[in-house]
Amino acid sequence: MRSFLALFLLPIFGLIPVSADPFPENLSEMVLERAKTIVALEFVVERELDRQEGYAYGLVVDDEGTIVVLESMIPTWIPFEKLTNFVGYSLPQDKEEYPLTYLGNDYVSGWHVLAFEGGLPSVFTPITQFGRATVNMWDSIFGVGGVGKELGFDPYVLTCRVAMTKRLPDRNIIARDDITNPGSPVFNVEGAFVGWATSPMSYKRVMNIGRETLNVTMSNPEESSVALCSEDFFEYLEGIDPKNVDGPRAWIGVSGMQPIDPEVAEFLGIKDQAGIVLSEILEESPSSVAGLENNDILISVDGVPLPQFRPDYTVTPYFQKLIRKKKPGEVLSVEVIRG
Amino acid sequence: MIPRRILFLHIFLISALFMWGCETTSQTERTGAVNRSSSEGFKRLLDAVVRIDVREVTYRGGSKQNISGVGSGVIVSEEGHILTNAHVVSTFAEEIRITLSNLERVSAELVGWDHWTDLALLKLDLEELEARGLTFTYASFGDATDVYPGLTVFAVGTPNGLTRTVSRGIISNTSRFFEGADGVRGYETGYFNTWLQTDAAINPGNSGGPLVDENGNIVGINTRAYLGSNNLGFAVPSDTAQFVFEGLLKGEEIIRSYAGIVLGPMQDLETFYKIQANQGVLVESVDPGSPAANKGIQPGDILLSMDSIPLDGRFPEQLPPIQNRIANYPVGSEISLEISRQDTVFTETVTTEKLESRVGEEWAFDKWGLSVRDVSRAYARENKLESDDGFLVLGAKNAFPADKAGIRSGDIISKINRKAVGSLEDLKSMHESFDESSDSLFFEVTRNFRTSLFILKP
Repeated sequence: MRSFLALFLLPIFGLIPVSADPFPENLSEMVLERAKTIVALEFVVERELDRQEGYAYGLVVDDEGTIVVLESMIPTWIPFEKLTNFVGYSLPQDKEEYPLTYLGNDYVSGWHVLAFEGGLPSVFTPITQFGRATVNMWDSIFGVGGVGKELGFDPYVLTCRVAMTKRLPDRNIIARDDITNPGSPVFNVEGAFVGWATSPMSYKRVMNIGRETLNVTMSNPEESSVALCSEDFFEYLEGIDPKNVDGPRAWIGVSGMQPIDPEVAEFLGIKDQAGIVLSEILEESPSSVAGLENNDILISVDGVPLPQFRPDYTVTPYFQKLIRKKKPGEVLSVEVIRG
Repeated sequence: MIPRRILFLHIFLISALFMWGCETTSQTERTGAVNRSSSEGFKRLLDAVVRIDVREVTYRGGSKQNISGVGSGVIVSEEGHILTNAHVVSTFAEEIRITLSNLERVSAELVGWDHWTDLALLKLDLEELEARGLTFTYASFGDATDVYPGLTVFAVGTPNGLTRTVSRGIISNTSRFFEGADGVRGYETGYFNTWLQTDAAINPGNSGGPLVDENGNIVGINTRAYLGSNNLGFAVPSDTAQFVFEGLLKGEEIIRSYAGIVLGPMQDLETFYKIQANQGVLVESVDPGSPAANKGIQPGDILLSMDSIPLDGRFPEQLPPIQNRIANYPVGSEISLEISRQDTVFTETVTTEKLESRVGEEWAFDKWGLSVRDVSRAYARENKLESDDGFLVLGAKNAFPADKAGIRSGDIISKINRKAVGSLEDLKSMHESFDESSDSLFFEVTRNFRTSLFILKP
């Protein structure tokens, strides 16, 4: 019995020095204020024979009541009219269901854009109210999230430190542990908005079941340790026009973009930059009209050489983002290597 | 559809049946109950069945490796020709050892193979036999037209390693159809013949052995079975076997004609197509770039006749004979096809090409840790590739230059150092000069219709 107690107490004593954390004493107040930026939303996907309920967390981004939701949270392969019955809830849930309108899927960011019917209810606060900041490695951060509907969407807080930041090609904050629900905000110790939690990362794990060893990849769909940094968040946000989310989309007509690795780049004489093989130029597409040919290697766009990313394949979404930012009819000038 | 469970059965042996046969005869004479299966013909057949041990190469996994297999066969000529399955002995065989019924082991060589019918022809080393004073007997083919459902047959082989096993059953069906399978090491099979189905017990180990009647005449070559079922075995019919045997005596392969038409059964579509029952065969698909495609033949067309001979492809088992009829034209023949399309009937002439397998020549490059297969014309058409230049990667050995560069199995190597690679010889000479001091090689590879570039460093 005595040894059991000792075992039990040791870790507690061990933890005491660490518990002197950098967060302010009024953290719980800060959390409750910031939980007002989150909308827990429900919707229905109308399918051929049945209906499927979906849920997600969205972030209120302006005084008009515009809400953004991560791309992966609402199916994009379904016609918009099949997505119905959008309603929002506050954190914690008050009595009301707030009806929402689905405005569309933004082409550049991939985010879904929604709005409160009849303007922003007073129980919600836009994220812009809390300022913005940048964080770096080992900075302390806290994430504000909400528990499920059956628990009344009560807000919760998780704290941790930034393990690293990484461009993929967007600048991401990668925390040591899960920080909040995908789609919920992350703040620094002063309470400024630093990032928007995105889809969870998957982790490699080795599972031993009896004599069997399995290499598994695991992820927690409820919580994420990755967040899009606030600068990139606002850059995307500025590009969204809530009145015209589903506007015309720019397209160049290239299929099969394959990045080249640094060794190949060096072989081709283009040091310290990336390249993309344009495998197939579709007939009569803008690329074909401009004179591009199958297997041309793209090396610069609008006079700027393609930057090198690790992993190499990050350059493909980078280039796609450049295309998506253009409006139909605008000119994209490219430099390629041929032959 | 053929359930995946149909597996090819590697065969073990038959041997020493001669000795056992003698004993059996004396017993039956004593009891006076003469069993017809102990007739002279049947005993002769038992003597003609052999065990085949094969050492063959495989190019899977990035290198050339040896694997060994065991199968059965039956001697079918006085020159020592042995008929077996193509999945027992193929062109990948490097050493073939035959165990005769008297347990003596001798060498044999591959005369030729025909994966389309899953048959291969071997020849005993007669000089070796003569030098050692060994003799053998051979079996004869039965008449395929005499085979009927209910006919008593015997399967001879080594199921699950149980040597000298004779099992008895009947012919369950004379024209079983399987949709095109590619079970002979990825090579196509079963396009030109139907199969005899038997309930004579056939298990793994029976493959390549003969299915015979009571007189020991070859009715078929045991080739497949549904595993885990009760006595559903399948044999290549003797007329197909005899055709291939005679064909392989003349050359290494059976030359067949190809038009590029994939046929489908009409089943009950006659009403839909407004044509009489038991007339015509459906064009299910047309290979891109094939003679039929070049003449504008389309999926959904109905072939009513071929060189004025009416076609009837109402049921699936009627398709292989029609496909075989096209195949049996000399290469370059002009075949006149009467075609029904919507409300019109017209005639189109198609000039046949030589039938080729989708599987091209294989090779392994040790220094690169890479094994490849030549992209054949058929493979290129099937996969909608722009040309049949290039090589399909079968495997890249872990941590060897090809793997380190990023090349994966399933990739198609289209260019090296910006030049198209057309022949295996080009690749071999490039590999030959690849060493510590040589320059890196620049590989252009197609993967899922995307172009990837890789540097192979020494």
